[in-house]
Amino acid sequence: MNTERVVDPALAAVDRVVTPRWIAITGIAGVLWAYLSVLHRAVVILGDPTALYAVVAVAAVAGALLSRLVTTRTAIQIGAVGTALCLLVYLRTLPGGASFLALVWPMLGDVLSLLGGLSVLRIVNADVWALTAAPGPVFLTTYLALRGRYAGATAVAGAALGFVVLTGDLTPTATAAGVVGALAGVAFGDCDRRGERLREADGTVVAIAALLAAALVAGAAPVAADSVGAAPGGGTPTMEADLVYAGDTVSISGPIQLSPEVRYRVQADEEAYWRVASYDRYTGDGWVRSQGGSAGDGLASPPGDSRTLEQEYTAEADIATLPAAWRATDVSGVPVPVQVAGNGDLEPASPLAEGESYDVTSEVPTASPGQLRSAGTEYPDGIEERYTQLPASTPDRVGERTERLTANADNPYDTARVIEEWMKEEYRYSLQVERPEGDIADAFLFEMDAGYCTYYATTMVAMLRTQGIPARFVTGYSPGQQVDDDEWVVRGSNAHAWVEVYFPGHGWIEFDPTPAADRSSTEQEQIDEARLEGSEAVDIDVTENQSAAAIGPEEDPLVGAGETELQESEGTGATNGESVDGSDGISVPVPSREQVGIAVGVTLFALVGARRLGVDRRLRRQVWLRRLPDDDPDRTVIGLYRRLLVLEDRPKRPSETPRAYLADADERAKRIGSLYERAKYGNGVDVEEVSSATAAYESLLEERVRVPRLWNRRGGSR
Amino acid sequence: MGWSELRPTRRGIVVVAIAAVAILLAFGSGVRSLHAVSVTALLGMVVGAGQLRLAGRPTIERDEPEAGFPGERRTVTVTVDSKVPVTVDERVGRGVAVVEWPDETPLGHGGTFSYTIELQRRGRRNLGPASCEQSDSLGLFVRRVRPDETATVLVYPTIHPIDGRTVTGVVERRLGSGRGSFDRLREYTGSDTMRDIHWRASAKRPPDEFVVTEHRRHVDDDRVRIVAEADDDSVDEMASAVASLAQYLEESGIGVVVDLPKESIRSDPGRRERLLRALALTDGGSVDTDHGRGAEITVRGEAGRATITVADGDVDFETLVTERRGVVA
Repeated sequence: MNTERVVDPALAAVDRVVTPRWIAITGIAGVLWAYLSVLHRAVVILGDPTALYAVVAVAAVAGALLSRLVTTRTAIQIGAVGTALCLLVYLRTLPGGASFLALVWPMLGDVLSLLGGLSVLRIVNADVWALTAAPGPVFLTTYLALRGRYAGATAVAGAALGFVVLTGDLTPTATAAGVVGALAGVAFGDCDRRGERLREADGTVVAIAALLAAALVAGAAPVAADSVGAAPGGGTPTMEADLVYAGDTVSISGPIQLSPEVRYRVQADEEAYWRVASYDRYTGDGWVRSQGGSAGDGLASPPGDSRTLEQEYTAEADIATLPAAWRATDVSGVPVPVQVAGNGDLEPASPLAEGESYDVTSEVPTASPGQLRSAGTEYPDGIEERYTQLPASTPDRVGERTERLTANADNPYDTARVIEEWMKEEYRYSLQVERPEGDIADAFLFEMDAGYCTYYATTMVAMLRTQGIPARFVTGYSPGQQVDDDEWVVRGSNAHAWVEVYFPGHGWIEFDPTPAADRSSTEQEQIDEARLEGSEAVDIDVTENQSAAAIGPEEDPLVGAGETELQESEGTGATNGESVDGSDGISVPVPSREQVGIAVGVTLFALVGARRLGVDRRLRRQVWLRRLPDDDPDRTVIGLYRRLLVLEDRPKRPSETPRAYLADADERAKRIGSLYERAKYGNGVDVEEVSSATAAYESLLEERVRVPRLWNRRGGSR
Repeated sequence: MGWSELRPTRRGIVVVAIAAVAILLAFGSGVRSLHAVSVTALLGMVVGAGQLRLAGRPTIERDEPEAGFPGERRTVTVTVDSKVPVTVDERVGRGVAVVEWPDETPLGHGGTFSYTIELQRRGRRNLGPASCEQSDSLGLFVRRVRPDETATVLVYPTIHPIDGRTVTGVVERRLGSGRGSFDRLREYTGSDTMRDIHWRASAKRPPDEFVVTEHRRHVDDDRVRIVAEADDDSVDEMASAVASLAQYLEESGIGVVVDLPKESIRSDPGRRERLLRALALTDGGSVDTDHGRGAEITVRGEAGRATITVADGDVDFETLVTERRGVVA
């Protein structure tokens, strides 16, 4: 059959609007978007994103305007000067004053650390940094892209993307999308430079669609693993891995399990929470330990009353973190070099091997509730700003809820106690919870009715911060199984998270909103299971056959008993009605964003491929051949003739007359041809002639074509 | 064609380097996104190589330019059909030269462009075959292909205006024979072409009637017979001489019959393409003596010169030329 061009007006219209130039610019914009998303996150966590929008808009507009006005060299100079100015602005905001030279070296060191995997979120003034890191790349990329220098624009945007990839802040999906966007930018940029139209550039569309589909499919496997957590070999992460081995960033998981292996033994006069690390920056879905949070002298003694607690820790397995009761004032006997951070975290240079031990002397605060109540709210500047940080995306209702709940409490200590008790009463302890979307604290307060210590502690800190009370998230181990008067055995299942609240004159005081009995019984269950399975590291000699139930404190171990009588402002009944059962009911499977992305990519590829192969054209032609014209007699015959031309083997030359063309053809075809001539040039045809032409065409169709009938015959009469 | 024909471009090398760096860095740090960079970049290379490998050879179509004389220029329009972006490098045979080449010939996914050639030497000259470089749509790989299609252009021999003294005798004899070669007018019939319609005369007639000019049929008697022979190294000169003579005679209204080594061509004023074509294509050789009798003019090319022989004697063609024309490559 010949190919007859069936021109589609819809496609022509699309062709005019969607040009390769705009697809290239979109691709490059996508790369920039991925970069800006990281900056946006930093700004949201620390403050107000409005400033970032403004800065980006100004830089983009400047780039767009100047793309018409100045040469590339000038633009690059402007970009360089602008970036230098921004850098100066950032440097001025750092503690340490305005001495430029003194800051250059550490700044270079910072840049190197960032490139080595230091998350942007850990930077002290991450929001200011983000504001100063945005304009340069945005300006240059916009300028170059609008100027048609697609390779240059892609290079600038790509470098920015690479930077946030190296800091570890960009998700793999966004990274893959960014790379595809960059390739699309240069490929369609080539099309634009060659002056091609989208219709002609089929090859590029197919290639990019194929790449997108392949990248999404290939990324699906690691992406799925991403959402489950960084557990080696996949599967449910352990509490210990999430909390104690988290390093600088705590990501909050969904369902979690406990690891029952013995970690170490502690010898001390009394039990305590064996603290490992604290985190100051709440991101909405996890915790980050900022660089500023670690500054200061870690071994200072707490202000206020305290008593000394000597501890000796012996490793029963290789351990990479060094617990110590709050607050450590001296560390000795450690076989590896140890740094003590300003927030009290012990940072060993390398892990301790089994059998090694170390000693810690701590001063445990012993302030009474009365003293804490009257501590006041004169917080030091550094403490207040850092430890009351909440992301701008935190819903207001968190603060409102906390207000109502603690309306009766008129000092920070009572507020903290109300929240602590309320949470113990209100929520069920469970390791099997679905990780909520959105802000963790908000979800725990309004959507969940059960959780584990990470959720309890996170929510309590967030609630305290909404009231302007400095609080932080702390990880470590609960006391563990007591095997002797002064000895405890600590397992991975004892990994725990709790809260520290700051009181002027007393320092950081511990609170624990997780119901202790539930927690220890869950721990016991896991250990019993492991014992049944015969797992080896569950027990050492002293612990065998003993219940591992910690005689853990029902209340805060540091505050005396008897102070538990506190009125809540609302009965629990009223609160029950509010909480939505989000974790137990049957949930409708909503496709994740990644799955949607994959579906979109594959569909796009299939559509483009089909178009490329002409499938749509062929389909349309086949339908057209079978759909007989149903019009006035002349037009019907003309329509039949046109279809005949497509059916015939040899293409008709424009100069050939119908008669000449059909000279060797079938009788039926000749009939149609002559009727056509009459219809078009002659006196017209009548109804009988139409039906004979139709009959002739139909019989030809049956011979030449498989499946001649799509639907019942219409038009023409028998 | 196979995988081995594909070569990476500079861009392709950059992409591979980025993937390599990402892989190296991923070993040191625990950053997951580096895998996304390397995997996606390598997938891009795979897609590019696969697309180029699967793409067929480009097809090239050229509009064959009209024949012409040395020194004239012609525009060649080339249409390339290719599923992937292609750059065309045209080669032309000896005897023509490219004088204008468009600035941009990365053609995108096929397209059309034109270039200008100057005709230089008599003969049938080749345009093409071209050498094409195809790349994949992402610009990561290239390969070179040579599609076979060629076109040709015919270059006639150079015509020089000549001083007709030597052939005056011949001319006078012809013109003097009395019969004029007037064209006459007659009515249009169905078998006439529109070209022959004499419009001015037709304007005086009623609207439906047309008149055509009829060229007088020349009888062989009226044509001057020229015999042309040449050694292989002097065919150009012979052809040029014959063409120039024929031109001179035709300007005086006299047709010619030319006996070439392989054929015999009649030529009349206004219809000289056949002769020019034959002269363009002719090779060396001699005309058999039977035919050669009765020739009023004999042209012989040897040792790089053409010699004209008329009744009065031999003369070197060069001496007849009043104005050297044309370009000899």
